[in-house]
Amino acid sequence: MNKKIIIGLLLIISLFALVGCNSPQETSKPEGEQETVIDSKETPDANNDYVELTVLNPTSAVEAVGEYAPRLDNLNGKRVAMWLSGEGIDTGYGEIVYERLAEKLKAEYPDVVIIPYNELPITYSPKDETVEAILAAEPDALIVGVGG
Amino acid sequence: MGSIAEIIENEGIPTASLAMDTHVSTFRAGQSLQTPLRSEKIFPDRLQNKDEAAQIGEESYDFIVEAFTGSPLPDTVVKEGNLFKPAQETITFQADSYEKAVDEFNKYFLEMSWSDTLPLIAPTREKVDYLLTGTDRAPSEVIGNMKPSKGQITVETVAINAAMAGAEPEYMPVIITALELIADQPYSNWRSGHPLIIVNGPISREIGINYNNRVFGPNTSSPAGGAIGRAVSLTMRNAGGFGYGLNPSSQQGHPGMYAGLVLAEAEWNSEDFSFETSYAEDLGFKRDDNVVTVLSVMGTQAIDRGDKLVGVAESMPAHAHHWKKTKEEWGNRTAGILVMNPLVAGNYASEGMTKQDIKEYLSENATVSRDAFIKLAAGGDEANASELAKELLATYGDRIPIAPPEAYTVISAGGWCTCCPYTLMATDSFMDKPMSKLIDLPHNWNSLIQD
Repeated sequence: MNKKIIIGLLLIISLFALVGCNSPQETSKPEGEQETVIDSKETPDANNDYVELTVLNPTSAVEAVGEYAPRLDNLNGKRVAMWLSGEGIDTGYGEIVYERLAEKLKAEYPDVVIIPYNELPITYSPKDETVEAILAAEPDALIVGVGG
Repeated sequence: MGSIAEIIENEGIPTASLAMDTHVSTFRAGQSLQTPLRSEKIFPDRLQNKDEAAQIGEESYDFIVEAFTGSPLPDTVVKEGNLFKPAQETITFQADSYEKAVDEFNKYFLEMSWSDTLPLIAPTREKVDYLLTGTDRAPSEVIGNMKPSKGQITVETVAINAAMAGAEPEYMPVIITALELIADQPYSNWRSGHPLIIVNGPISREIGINYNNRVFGPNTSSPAGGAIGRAVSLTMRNAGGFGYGLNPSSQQGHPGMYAGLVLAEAEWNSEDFSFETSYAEDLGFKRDDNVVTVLSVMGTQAIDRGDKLVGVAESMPAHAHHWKKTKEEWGNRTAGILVMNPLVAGNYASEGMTKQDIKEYLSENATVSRDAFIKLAAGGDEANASELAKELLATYGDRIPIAPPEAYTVISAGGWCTCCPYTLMATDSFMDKPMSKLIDLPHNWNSLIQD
């Protein structure tokens, strides 16, 4: 067989292997490997006339050294505190964010108790007094934010 | 003290953080807890008026309820033993054409914040395996932990991000070495700088890292720096978040976030056109060692008139962070890096001027007025100035030096002309001490660079 034809065939085989053209079969994967499929085909699957491009996830594993607090089953009857780092335009009008959020929470959960931002210290850098004041308010949950 | 969210979560009280992009670190529970970020909502810095703030309050409701009552794990992460791992190891794009699949891949990576916003090369298994031929290290070997999440940077993580950046296998030793150095550094969410990667030794010519014309831009004769810098930047972004790419909270950003800042020093053998020592030699290495050095720099300031160092001295920015608390700290860092082209460096050398002479000139002439110094280094309060500030005021009178001679670095690189031969870069307050490391070459190095 002509050398150019052999090289051409190898290239075509390589291309098909790369994009899985016309034959989107499941490939064997190591146990536990998770896969997400994003399907943007406009043609019906039955035609088998589509390609697959499989890429690897670029992010990293992280060693866990801490735990989140247990979550709540419901917000009704719970005390939700709102801690704010600063007021005004420099810090994103967090007070207005919180006011609207509090209205919405009360509308959906009539028994929720909101501990408003202005009952807690408004400080950019957390200090012991800030933490003490938050804990003294005995919240079941805390919203922290918004600007610097 | 940690973030409020971290402290309160440790008290057994669930938190939810609402953070403007710029201020994420203030609220980030996961940053110190090393747990994922389901209970954190970041929104763009668009709270310019009260109506928008109210809208954010409205939009935050669903998130708040989910953060307090749902699983704390985001969809991007699964817990296996003591590790939080990416929930999806591979992502498959099905489309009517290969071009459409590539488009969808780029859109998805943008959505996940895994992209630097420029088109990416698809990190297929085949492409990543190809890049892994550029190192002898096992794909699973952890070379460091990238902050703030302390994500484990494996050799394969590097290869995946390097594939996305368009790197070649022979770039891998430089990319890995640079990332090892960066991962060792403390993290600053407030940084305005980006790592400058300086390469010394034969490797720069073997793989084509630019030391010549347009040393801070593309040079098709020496193209490696762009992909190396981009690979490092992408790995920093993607290994440092929890399943999402991390946007550092730098308020002005940095052009280096796209393709990095990578250069080689011009260190060929002609005595007529080089300094007496290379930068790597100044740091204690041998002339032929392959060395990567990393420093964080704020920006690049080009300066014209090759025969006049005065323009360089006048261009040194007087950042407040240059003046530390003590004299030892003031000198034990790099404040400014002067890159001068080899022609001008040779001219100075032929006149008997050494790098040390240039550093002393810069220290003597890059100064600020006494009033400016008190504002910058002492917050306007001379009485409560630091030990260093008081000493400098007593010693220098009306003009205060920005940095001592030893805090300047002079290296040789750039195009062959005297019209605009200098670039000056001031360092950021983070990563302002040069960190260097010898580059490990793989067993197949000769065949790699011959290919």
